[in-house]
Amino acid sequence: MNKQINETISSTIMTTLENLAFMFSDYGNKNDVLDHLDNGLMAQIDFYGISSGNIKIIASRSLCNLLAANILGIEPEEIDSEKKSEDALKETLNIICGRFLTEYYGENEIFTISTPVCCLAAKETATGIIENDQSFALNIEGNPFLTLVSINK
Amino acid sequence: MAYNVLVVDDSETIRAVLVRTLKITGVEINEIFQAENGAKALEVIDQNWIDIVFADINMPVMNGIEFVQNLVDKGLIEMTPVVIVSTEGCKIRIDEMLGKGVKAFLRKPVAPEALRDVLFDVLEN
Repeated sequence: MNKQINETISSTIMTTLENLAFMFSDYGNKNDVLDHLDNGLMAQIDFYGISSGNIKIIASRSLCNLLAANILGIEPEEIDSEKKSEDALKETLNIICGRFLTEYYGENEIFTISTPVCCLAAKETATGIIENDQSFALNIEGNPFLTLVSINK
Repeated sequence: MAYNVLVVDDSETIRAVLVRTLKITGVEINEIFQAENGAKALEVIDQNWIDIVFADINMPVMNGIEFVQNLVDKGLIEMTPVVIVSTEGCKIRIDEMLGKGVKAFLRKPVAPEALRDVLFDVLEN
């Protein structure tokens, strides 16, 4: 089951980033995450329905700035507040979650999705996610993007 | 005729993208209002003539479903066309909202052409 979840979520992330931010990604090494954690961000979204759980993602600050810039159609240097990169990461996760749930559970299951939350990614938290066998990383234009889907029931 | 548009989304990023896209659709726009949730959107509608609303579902304070229900309860859903712009993919929920009078549904991320087509369909027809 977990392999299928990870295949679905990774495919969803790749497609979402391409369509939302014109960013292309491939599978990466999750051990690279700690090397790129410079003031990085962690975002989480919870979902409730036929299954309940959450999705956590961790990205470096430079990747978050690039994400925000690409979505907004401006240069990364023009991202003038941390709030913009945080908002971009949260909204990206929101879209990923909604699309993942439809891809994995089908179009006839009703889910309630929480408002995404975002905070600085602590090294201990990132390490915990990296050590989780179910987590994986994508490489997005040279930046690792760590993902963990947890299903409670 | 120039139209007043209301964009409702808790993400400032998404609002900025929608506003930018609306400005290049070719539809003559008078003013674009913005609100970060359904409750704020209702305040805007109370104080201004709005020709079309683009609203998200997943928002704090008042979500898009509650916002649409408020418009239905107040008898405003017919004169204030609402287009849902959401990550929602559940057919049951989409059909439920269309049944309440929502004019169209766009799934995020929204292609500019899709937004333009819906804008023309709802306003020009």
